[in-house]
Amino acid sequence: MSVHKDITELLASGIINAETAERIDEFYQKKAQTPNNRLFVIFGILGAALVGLGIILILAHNWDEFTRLTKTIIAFIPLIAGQVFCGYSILKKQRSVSWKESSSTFLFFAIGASISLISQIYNIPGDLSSFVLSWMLLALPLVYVMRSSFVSLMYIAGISYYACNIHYFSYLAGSTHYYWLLVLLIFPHYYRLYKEEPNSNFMFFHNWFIPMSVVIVLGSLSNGKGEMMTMAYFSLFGLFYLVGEFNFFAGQILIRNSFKIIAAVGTIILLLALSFNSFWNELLEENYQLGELFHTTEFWISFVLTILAFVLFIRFLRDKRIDQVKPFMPIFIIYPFLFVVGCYSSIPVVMVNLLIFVIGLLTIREGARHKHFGILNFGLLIISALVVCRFFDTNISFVLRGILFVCVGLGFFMSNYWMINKRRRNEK
Amino acid sequence: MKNNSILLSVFVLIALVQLYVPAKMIKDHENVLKNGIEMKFRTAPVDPSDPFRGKYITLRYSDNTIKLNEEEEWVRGEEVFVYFENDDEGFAKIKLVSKVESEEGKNYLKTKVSSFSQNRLSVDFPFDRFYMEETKASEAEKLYNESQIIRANESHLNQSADKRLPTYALVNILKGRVVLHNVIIGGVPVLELID
Repeated sequence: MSVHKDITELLASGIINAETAERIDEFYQKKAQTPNNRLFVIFGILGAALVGLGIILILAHNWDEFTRLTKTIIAFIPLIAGQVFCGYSILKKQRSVSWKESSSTFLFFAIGASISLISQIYNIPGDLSSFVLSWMLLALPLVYVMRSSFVSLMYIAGISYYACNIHYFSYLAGSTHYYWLLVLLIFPHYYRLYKEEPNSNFMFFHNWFIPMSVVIVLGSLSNGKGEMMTMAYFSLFGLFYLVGEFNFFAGQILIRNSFKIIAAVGTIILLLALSFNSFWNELLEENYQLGELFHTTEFWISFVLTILAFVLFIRFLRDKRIDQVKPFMPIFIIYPFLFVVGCYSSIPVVMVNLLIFVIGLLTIREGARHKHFGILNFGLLIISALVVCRFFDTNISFVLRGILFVCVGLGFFMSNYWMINKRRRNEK
Repeated sequence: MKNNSILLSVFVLIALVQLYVPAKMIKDHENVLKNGIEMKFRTAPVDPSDPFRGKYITLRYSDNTIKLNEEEEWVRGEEVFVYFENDDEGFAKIKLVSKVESEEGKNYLKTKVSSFSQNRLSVDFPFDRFYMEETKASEAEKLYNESQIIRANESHLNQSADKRLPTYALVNILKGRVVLHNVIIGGVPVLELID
């Protein structure tokens, strides 16, 4: 405050000009963002969220003592209170992140409380999806006007739930086309975070929420040809992995590189699922004609995602050396060929098993090269998972399976032991 | 400062929308209650709960099916207009199901096809939730089940026709919109029954 007074004085006496005054002011504002301040933001949001949720729960008791009119009036009280808090933040606390985040969080839950109470009063039909959709649409502007990142995260969670509820959890599975529009609406905010607060916790959470949401909802675009969606997923994971290679992510510690982790784990899970005979047997039974596949929604989704991933792959190759290509990257190029072969024979199941094994080995090698325990053990985990999956294939002999298990177990011990020793030697 | 006032006016606009949407919901439903036609639908309640809106009883309807003679195809999930009439006992039954709005009057419901096989068309009755105070919902379900057992025994002893007391939902219908406003178990409104 005193700095602000000094600046006004300096400005008045003509020592500094308006522009400099603004810059000095900004400098101190930024400096004021101490860890203490961050705690305020966290506790502010937590408090507002708990109070908001509490109000929803209290209203959900469905008080029979109140008349319809009383209930209707009550429905507006938290909403108006939230709006007053937000209005005050805009007018008086423009620069306070904690005020803006907590008032928006409260208003976010107040909107939910208000429309849920009206649903109760009139026994409004419809399941949770229509309720959540109206809630999210009414809350979205807060992300931009209040610049609230917490509401943005809640919004992403909300629209993902909406899409899941409408497609996966409902017996009359509806279309999730709206979801894609809704998720696009959050991108301007995401971009702002990327530009202005690239290292903030909010950016970190957005980096996890957005790709996770897309991975979960992508499956809902399937239109009866579920097998084809595997291709779309491999391309999406390929795309995410390459996004994870962007300079922005590549320079960060692994846990902050959500795109890469989601892509790597997703690819492996999907490959493991395809390492069983059942998928390929079903594919053979479907008796797909290649020409017919071109007319499916699944094909076009896969096509678009593959093209996007391919563009990023070319860009990667242009900037980096070929030996920097990671084992997860080219899967989305290899898989379409496996899929086409799989329409006519069951050979791909062997190839998928080999592929997982090779990815595991290459990941171990990468971990060893960079002396990274996490990557090394992830590689070992891939191979172990492959072995465990084969454990359930009854047509492999017990002795062979036993030997495989022993080998992988020894592999875990030896590679970690070797790496610890290597590190120690380096430290000396 | 100028920036601030723009922001504030945008926010006021958003706040008005946030107030308008719930107010519009109230107005529409009040309109159906005031001007809609009241109909009785035979039902059976069970008691689930919703994380945000609390306890309610789910109502299952028996008269949501109609036998059709025409060779028309109906797809599950397709939007339809359902017109009602009262049967001899005064309960609502489907009179007509149409893919387009018909001239049959204003007591119709806009809903979706839930199944179609062997010329029998079932539609989804969306007024399947009746919100109640949390302690009362399970009570209501229990009461309903008990009353069914007693009545079954009575009718067995009397060797007479089914004497079940009517259990039904009171629903107001107006041009596609519906508001469920009471559930009657054994002739008595469910809320009075529990008090």
